[in-house]
Amino acid sequence: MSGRKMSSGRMSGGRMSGRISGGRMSGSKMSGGRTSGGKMSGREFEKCLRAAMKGGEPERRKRLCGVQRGIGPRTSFREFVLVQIRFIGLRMWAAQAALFAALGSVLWTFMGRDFWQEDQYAVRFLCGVSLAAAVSALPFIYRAFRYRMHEIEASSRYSFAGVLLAKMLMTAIGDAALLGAVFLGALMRTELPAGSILLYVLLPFLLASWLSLNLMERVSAAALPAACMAMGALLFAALGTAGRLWEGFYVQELTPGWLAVCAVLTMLCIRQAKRLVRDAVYLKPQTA
Amino acid sequence: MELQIDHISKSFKDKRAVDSVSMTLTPGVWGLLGANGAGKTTLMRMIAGIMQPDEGQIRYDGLPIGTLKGRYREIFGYLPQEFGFYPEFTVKDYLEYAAALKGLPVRDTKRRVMELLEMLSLSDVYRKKIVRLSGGMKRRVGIAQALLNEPELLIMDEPTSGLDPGERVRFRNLLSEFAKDRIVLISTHIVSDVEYIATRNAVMKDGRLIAEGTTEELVKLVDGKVWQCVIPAERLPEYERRLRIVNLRNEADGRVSIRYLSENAETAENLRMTDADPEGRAGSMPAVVMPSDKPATPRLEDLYLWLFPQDAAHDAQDAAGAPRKLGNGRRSEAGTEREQPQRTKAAAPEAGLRGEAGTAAAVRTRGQADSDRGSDSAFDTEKGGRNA
Repeated sequence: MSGRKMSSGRMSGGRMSGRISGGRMSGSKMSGGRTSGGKMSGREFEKCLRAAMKGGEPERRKRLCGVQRGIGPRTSFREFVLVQIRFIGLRMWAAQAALFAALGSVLWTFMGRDFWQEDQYAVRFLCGVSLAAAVSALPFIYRAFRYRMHEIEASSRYSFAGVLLAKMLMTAIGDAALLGAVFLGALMRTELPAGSILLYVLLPFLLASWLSLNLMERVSAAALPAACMAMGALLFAALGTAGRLWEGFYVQELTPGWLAVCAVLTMLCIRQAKRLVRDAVYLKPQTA
Repeated sequence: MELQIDHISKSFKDKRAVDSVSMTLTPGVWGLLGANGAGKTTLMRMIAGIMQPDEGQIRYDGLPIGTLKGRYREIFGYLPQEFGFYPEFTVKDYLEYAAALKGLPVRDTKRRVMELLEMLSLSDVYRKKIVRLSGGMKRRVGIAQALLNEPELLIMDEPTSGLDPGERVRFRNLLSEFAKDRIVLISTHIVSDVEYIATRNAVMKDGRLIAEGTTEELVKLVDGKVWQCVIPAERLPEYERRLRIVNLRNEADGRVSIRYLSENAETAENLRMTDADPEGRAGSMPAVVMPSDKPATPRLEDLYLWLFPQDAAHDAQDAAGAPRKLGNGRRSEAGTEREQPQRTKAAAPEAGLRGEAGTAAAVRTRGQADSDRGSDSAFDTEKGGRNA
């Protein structure tokens, strides 16, 4: 069998891998098993491949070239995200739309159609919608664990990190569209200044998103939806309490100070999302 | 094409799930055998690149899989032990989603999905929701997704659980054909699944690889340790206490044919001499007649039961889907349901393996469970070429 022949001719591979290991790590680090994978740059990888192909059997060289180029045509990440919209995105957005339609109906029923023409209610409504938008997408992001799809997704071409990134992008698109619609609706139907509307839409959303992303790192997948819902409820209560303790809390404008707070929260969200994606390359034992 | 597993280990809290496992996989079907908790799934997850080893390295054609990243994942197919799916997915949706995950272009996806639906007899249900399918069909959908990208390396964790006998045979044939120039690694405790199609087998116990070889080579390890005889039905409970019975069958004449594992044939004399009656009078029980005690041709399942004396009986029964008990409390298939007392002679199957390793040329047996560590150096034997 050709494989057996090849196994006898594994010298070059062995030398090469020794070089990879030796080059990237040493001693306990190496034995600690941080395979060189995550840290090797593209240039180093090309170098390793060239070294591996030197002096090897023709078949082996050909195979390594195949590995280098990728085997067969494959879609780009952009195409992958577009396909994900069909399978994950549409359902997520439809569920979010249904949730907010239900929320709107309840408010209309109990508070009348014009409830948000009063500024105090409008601002609270904006905060509530913003919080709900941040929290409601999470179950979709971690659905893979609930339905035990994570192993298949993790072993896919983009790994679980790529899938998670795609889902986060879809969540961001959905939330942006939803909050954009709420912003426009509030701008047209209320007398609140645009800066205030933007502040009360953005601030709770960014705060809830940052806390949710932190929970995603710290709480097991099974407990995540409940933890996020609890966190959303606590934040909602905290915003209500803040309104009572500080009379001016719900009449704020988008001052440079608030803008800076929003910018910091945005940065924190991006940093935490990056961290999650980076760590999601391998399944954690508690989720596996 | 080869996949080198080089001293990889993985621990979870206080348990060492995989302990310094090394092997080199070449094209063909590889069976990974072991009882529940032996570390098979953890090993497969590390090979699949979705779990990081604490120690050691896995290399595909000499390149660490962590370096190859997506390039490595492009060339393998993986069927996890727990087959999951989103409840709204039809078979078609699922396969198209899996194809997207594997990065297959749309035009290739359609062609490949249709091929696999046909190959795995799923064409009639491809618009059905997976949640409505039977267990066997769900498993076939899982197998289909693993084959979507025509992988060079196929990793399947318990692929045949839930398949009926006919489906299992078809699946084995499909795999045999598929593995001509590919590496296929199947983890199972259903020994018959790999017995006939595996090019080589690896046996895991307590996280360690304890034996590796072709089916024939491994079976040699229990050569002379498998016996069969026909006994009177009323004597069966006594024999169950004394022998490690792996199979029994009721004969038409009221007697029972048994197959058991032992270093030696358990003659009537042996049984009498090692026995004591309830009052402690050694050798006072009536001699058991063993009219046709003779060596049996060993099978891979015998080796498995020899290596896993405590758990294997349950696994074997589950795998065979056999009823646990017959009408009068007997068990019909491999092993017995109640705990088998360890007989002195058959108490250390692995020790037996060590002793026999010299006769089993070209078979490699590896380090033992933690309790055996002290004698690892004496135990590790490498006989002949592994690829013989």
